[in-house]
Amino acid sequence: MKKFEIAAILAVVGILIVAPAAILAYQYGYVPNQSANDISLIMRTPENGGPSPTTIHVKVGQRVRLHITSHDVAHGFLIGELGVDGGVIEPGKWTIVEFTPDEAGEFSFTCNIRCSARHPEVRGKIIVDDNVTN
Amino acid sequence: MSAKVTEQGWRLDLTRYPLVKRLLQHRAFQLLLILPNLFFFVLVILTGLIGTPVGNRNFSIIFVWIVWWALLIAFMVPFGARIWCTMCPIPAPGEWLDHLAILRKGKEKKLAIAAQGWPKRFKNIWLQNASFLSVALFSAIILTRPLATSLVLLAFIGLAIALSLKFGKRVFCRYVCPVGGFIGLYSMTAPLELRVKDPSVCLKHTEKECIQGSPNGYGCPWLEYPGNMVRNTYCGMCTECLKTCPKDNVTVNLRLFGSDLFVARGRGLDEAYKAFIMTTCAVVYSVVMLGPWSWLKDWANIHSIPEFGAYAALFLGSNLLIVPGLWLLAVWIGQRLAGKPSGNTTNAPTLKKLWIDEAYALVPMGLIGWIAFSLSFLFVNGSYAIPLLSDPFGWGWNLIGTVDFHWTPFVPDLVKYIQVPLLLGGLSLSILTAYRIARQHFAQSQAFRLTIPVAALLTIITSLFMFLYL
Repeated sequence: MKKFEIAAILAVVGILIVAPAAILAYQYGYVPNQSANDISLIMRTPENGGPSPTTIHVKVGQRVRLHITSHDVAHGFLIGELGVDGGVIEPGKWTIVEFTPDEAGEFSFTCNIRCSARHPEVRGKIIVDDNVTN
Repeated sequence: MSAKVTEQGWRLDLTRYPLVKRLLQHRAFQLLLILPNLFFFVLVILTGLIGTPVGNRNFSIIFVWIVWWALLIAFMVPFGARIWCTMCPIPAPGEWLDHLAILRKGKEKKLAIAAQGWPKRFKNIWLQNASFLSVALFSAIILTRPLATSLVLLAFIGLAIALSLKFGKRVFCRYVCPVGGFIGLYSMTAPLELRVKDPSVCLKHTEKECIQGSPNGYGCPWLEYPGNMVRNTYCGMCTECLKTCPKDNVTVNLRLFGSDLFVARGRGLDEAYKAFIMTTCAVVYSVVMLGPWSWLKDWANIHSIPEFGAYAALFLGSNLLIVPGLWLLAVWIGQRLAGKPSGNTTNAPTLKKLWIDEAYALVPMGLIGWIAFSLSFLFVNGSYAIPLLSDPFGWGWNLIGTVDFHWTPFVPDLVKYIQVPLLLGGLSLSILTAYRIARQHFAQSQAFRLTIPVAALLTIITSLFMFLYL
């Protein structure tokens, strides 16, 4: 019975501690198919906190993969000056938008679907330069 | 031949099959059911706390309130009685801490600590009625916000641990758990029961290991005495008494559906109110979630405090006053129509007694109303579960390649063709139950007259369901 009790304790510890740790390690330690140029962006209405992050740093000439999701309603994603249109960003779904900025500068990203009464405030900045840490 | 007809009706003793008996008596039986659910529970808590706040892309919302709920109400309760309580992970950590053991027989607090320590005024299911109403009142929030779901479940587990450490036993499950209350009520309909084989054996046996515990198992964690148990209501089916009984006098039977509804012993106002509350909530949920009145949804979603106040007043008023009041009116009219029982009129039931007893007629209809309501969600929204198997947190994972599976309602136009026969069946069973309960007090023709207004009210409630579903 002692062996079975130890096995039961291990099973419970595995479920309560090891499994959550493994999940977090998978997400934050090893994220499949992601590199330094993969950037996550969460779209939200201003009432729910607005986009996060609001400022994204990228490098000139380097391909960028934006992983965009929405945490509330359907949003759009547009970087007008760079000609990038992510289409509809549905709540809870992830949309990947890829582009390569070829000039340094500061560009606005905006939501181009009316998402709330404060829709015009749903915006942020893409800063393209050579010295970057996200 | 292992089936037999007892005073309570047809029974099939499942422990006559050696494999079943060995399984039920094994100490690992309950743990093996709990462990997968513990993992499920941990995942629910984590996804609720740190996953996407988008309800339909979060494991906690879809798997608790659609998948688990539908399994519970449509399969586990009607067919397995309190089988969910056997495998529920919520009280397990508290129990393990109290026992200082997981699988082996560990320490056990004396029965008196729970039996005498728990306040007498709460030795009923009024707290469960209150806890269920509290959760139900805020359900528009809890059922759609992953964080709220997690916090509520964490509160349950915290309370279960605290009560286990203070009182021992499953005081949380027996007296507090909002889910346990209605599972107990509706498990009276199930074709499964745990009972003693021969109550006279228990009467002669003085040691009562089923209460006190033994090296083989714990005294009943649910504070029941199996020798005296005639209904499923408070048996958590933990199978400890199967392990402790030295007389081999405890068994698990298959039986006919609804057997406990006609057991007069143990009926009470707290349980009657549970029947009122469950039926009312099934109607209110259908109105709020399936009805065309979006303003009511806004009220329930706490768009503003005054609106939510109005909703709360309506919700609590209908649960605690309107439906019980209408039931009282129907029973009062029925009692007038029936007249005094023939023969010994000193045994004439009071209006209160009839009101309580007849409330059990709401059990079949209430349960089936919940099943019908839950099917709407399962069929229409069940497909949300498929992408979540790949991405439970909504973090963009694709573990098994199903993340791009789109929401696909399953035969939404056909759901009503399942709901309507179910509701009509529930109505028939409820009317039959009302009549058979009336027969416990009255002669045939009087019972029939008593049942007429009760049946009319049941028909109105069923019509309301149908109006909402069709």
